[in-house]
Amino acid sequence: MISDILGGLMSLMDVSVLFLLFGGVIVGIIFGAIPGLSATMAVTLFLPFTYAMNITPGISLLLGLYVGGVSGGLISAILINIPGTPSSIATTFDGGPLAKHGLAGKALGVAIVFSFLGGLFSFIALLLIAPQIALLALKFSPVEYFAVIAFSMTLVSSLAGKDFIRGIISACIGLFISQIGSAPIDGTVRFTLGFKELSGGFDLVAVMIGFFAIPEILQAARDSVRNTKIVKVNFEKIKGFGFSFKEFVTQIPNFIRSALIGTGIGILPGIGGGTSNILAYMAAQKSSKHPEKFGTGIIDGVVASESANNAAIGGAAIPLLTMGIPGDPVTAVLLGGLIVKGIAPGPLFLSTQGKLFYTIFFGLMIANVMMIIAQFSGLRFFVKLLNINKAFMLPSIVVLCSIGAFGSTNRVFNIYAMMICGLVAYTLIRFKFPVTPIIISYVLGNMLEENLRRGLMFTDGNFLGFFKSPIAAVFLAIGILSVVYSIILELKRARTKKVTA
Amino acid sequence: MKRYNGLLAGIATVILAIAIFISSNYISRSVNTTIGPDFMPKLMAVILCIFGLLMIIREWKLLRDNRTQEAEKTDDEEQPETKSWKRFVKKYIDIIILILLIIYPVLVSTIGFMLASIIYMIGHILLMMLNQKKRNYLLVILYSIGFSAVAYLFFIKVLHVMLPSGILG
Repeated sequence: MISDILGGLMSLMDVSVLFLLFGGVIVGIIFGAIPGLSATMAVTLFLPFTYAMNITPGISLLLGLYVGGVSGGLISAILINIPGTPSSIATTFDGGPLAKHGLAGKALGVAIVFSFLGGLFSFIALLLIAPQIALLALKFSPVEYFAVIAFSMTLVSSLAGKDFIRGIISACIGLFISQIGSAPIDGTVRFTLGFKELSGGFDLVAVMIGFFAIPEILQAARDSVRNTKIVKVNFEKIKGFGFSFKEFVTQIPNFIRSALIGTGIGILPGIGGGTSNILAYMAAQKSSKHPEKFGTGIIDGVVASESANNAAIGGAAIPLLTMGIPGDPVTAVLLGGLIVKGIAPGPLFLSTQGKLFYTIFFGLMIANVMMIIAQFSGLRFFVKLLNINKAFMLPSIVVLCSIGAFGSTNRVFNIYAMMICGLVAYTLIRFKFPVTPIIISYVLGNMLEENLRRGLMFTDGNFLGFFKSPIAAVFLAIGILSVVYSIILELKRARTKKVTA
Repeated sequence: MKRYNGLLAGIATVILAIAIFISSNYISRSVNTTIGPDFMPKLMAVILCIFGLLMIIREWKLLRDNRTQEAEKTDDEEQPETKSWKRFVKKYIDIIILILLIIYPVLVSTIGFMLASIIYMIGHILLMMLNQKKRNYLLVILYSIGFSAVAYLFFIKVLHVMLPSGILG
């Protein structure tokens, strides 16, 4: 094991690798800071370019983008009250007011430091927990895998947004998209409408970029014809860290709770920073001695949000590396990247690819350090980027996305696929359907089906046999309960609406 | 019109569910498995149909109770537009850009990546600048050419990505 640890660390001690790691962090922060671009987009966009690289430089670039992308969102969340990425939505709740009261420096300082600490917490958790989970997962049969994945999907669909019905419909649409192409196990081709290019299913890059980038572009087009004032941001340096040591100490309990939530949500398949920041904020508010102050501009809110979203990074890596199940959309893309290189993460990953595991761990740690340095020293630069005219920026992004989509499969068809996915996503968004369940169902759909069918072969076609396994029974039960809970909530809502009619 | 959004969505969902279910019947099954490749699609189509119907019921009830769903933020914060074609473009700008986005790959496969990108970018940038009083056309053209050329060269020479070539490559 020592040789793996050293080997992992040494593989990063290469100028080109460190350069890619650092470059990834910087570009990641840029993507994270600019509203409309996100960490998922950054990782997806650069994935095809890692195909030509070796595994260590390739994964370093992606990890840098991940860490940078998640943390970059705080810049715009605080300075212009618009989250740069979904992971920083809750940061706007108190970050925006703090900036309005002239305390932007404090907000930024707090956000950056606790982003770093949240990430650090989760990477150490990754190091310590992953081996245990890998051992546990070795005993997993398809029944348990199915239960965990189904649990995750039902959780997200039933809790996504205010509309339970739309959440489930979104999840089914995501499932449907994942069913286009070859079926798992027998490889039967489904729903391709005669397109040969779809026999392998939609390309991950096309779907991700289509779903995340295109709707933003169309929405920005709508905003551009409106009278929205363009806010120019100006910001000077932060003095020191921006906040006092005493304030730091008082935030520690908040931090620990938020980091735990972030890591935990990250571990849940499919859900990550986008969900954890809001949940951590709500938890911080509930546990606070002064909940009414949340939303007015207290650093507790910023600490909770930014600790949790970075903590989700390490958390999401755990199921990815120990079970081969992505912990969030970004790790779904990373999974694609690893598979292309012939590396299949799973329970045996830690034992057969120990060196790579430590490469990833140290990569994340180093990227984290680079992130905090880059944010503090380069803040002015990132702020300037927020002022770029979207009219020029977005079409440029489309060109880059198209190159990425094309480069992924070497077919122009993939660019079409990307645009079609974008059209579908935009239509759904306009009809108020939540996007998160679609992505998660798409990412996990094939695994869900494969494990269901294999599991049923185990239990001889008897689904109730799934409940014989204690682990599976627990996860399935919670999943079912969450659906029931949401149905009850929905009925209650309908009832109260009628009463107030 | 916006009031019927939910109802339309529900109806579309049910239609989609039925379509998926019907086309699932054409999926070839291997002989021995009880659960075949048509199982998940059919199961999912059933769930989709149920929830689509639930949505229709709910929307219908809301409409009948004569209450629109949470008040739509008015989209009409536009300046009063004198020219009618501009008014049309502004109202449907997202659809226009979408069409432009779909034309882009068509151009890429016919006239090549670089030329397609230049044309596309000029179009998109100008559309986004409709509300701006001062439009620097020269800058737009130069930027589009410059960016496309740099991206093209970078990806071909430095990263060795093969891009479709046409007239200008």
